[in-house]
Amino acid sequence: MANNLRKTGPVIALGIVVATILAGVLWRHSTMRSIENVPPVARENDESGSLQHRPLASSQAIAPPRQFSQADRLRLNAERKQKRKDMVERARASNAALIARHRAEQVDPQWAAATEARLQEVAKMSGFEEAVTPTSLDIDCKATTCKIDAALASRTLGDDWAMFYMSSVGSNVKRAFTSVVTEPDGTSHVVIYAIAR
Amino acid sequence: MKFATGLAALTVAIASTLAIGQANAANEQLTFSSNPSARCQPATKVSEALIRKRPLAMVNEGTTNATINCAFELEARQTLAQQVTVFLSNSTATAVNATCTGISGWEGMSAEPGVPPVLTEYVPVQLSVPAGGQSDPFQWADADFENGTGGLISVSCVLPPGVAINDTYADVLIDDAVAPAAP
Repeated sequence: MANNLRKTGPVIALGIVVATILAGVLWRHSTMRSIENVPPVARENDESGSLQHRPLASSQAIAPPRQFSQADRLRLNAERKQKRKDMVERARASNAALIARHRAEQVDPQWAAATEARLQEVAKMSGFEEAVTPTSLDIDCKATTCKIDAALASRTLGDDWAMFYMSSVGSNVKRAFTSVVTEPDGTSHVVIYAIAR
Repeated sequence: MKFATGLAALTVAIASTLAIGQANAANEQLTFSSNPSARCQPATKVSEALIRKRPLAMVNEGTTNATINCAFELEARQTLAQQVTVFLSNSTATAVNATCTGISGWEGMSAEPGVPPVLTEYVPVQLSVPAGGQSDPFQWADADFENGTGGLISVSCVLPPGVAINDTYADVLIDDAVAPAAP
C-alpha cells in the first residue's frame, strides 16, 4: 500500500497542479472574451417606445471601477516626471545644436536678405494689434537659419507677439524654436531660432 | 511518469498559446473627432470679438485676421504614434492663404524648478483655402516634432476674414501589450 502510494503520489499531485493551472488559464481567457463581447451600449425600449442608449451596467459589474492607490499615484507621477525630464533633455541638446549651427553658418547674402525681408513682412500683417508692436525687431538670417529677436514692453506682450508671429509665419519657416525672456525691468525679449530652408 | 511528463508539457503548451493570444494585442488606432467649439478658442479679446462660435465651425466674421488656439486630448502613456488634424473652410468668394502652427510641450518647458526653460518647438503649415470651399488637412504628427511632444500638441491658427476653423481630429495608435517610450 505504502509502496503503491509512493509510486502514484507524485503523479496525482502533478495532475492536481496541472488541472489547477489549466482551469485558471481557461477561466481568465473566458473572462477576457466575455468582456470583449459586451456591446458598448445597451438599447432598451423605454415607456414611450423610443430607443435609449445607455452604458451597459453588466460591463461595470465584470470590471468594477477602481481607484488610483497611493502607490499608483506615486508611480504615475514618477513616470510623468521622467518623461518630462527626458523631453527637456532632448530639447536642450537640439536647442544647443541649432544655436551652434546658426552661429557657425556662413551668410548666403542673396537668400539671407530676401528671407529677412519676408520675415519682416510677417511682423506687419494685419493680425497684429498695435499694442503688440515690438520696440525693436532684429532679424539675422545666414544660409539656412535665422535668429529673430523682438523686444516688447512686457512679458504679456512678449507672449502675445510670439503667438501672433509664430501662427502667422506659415511657409516662411520650416520649424522654429522660441523663448520669451522677462528682463529685470519688466520688458521682454522674444528670441526665435528658425530653420527657414 | 511518462504520462505525467506528457501531461505537464501539454499544459504548458496550452497555457502559453492562450497567454500569447492575450499579450500580443494588435495595434489599435483610435480617432477622436470634434467640432471646434470643444477644442478651440479665440486667443485674445480682439479675436474673441471677431470670431462667432457656430455649432459646426468657429468663423472669423470680422474684417481683420483673428487668432485661434486649439488643444487636443491625447493618450500619453501607451501611445505609439499620435497626430492632430484641423480643417479650415472659407465662406468668401476668393481663395485665401491660411497659416496654422503646431506647438509641442508645455509652458516654460523645464523639468525642474529654477532650471531655465528650453525653447518651445513650432512647426508652421500654410495652405490655400479655396473660395467657398474646404482646406486640405492641416496636420501634425508626433514625428513632425524634432524633440517629440510629451503627449501635448496644440495648434494656433490665423483666420483671415470669412475663414472658419472646422472639423478637428486626434488620432492615436496604441498597443496595450507593451509600455512604449513617451511620444
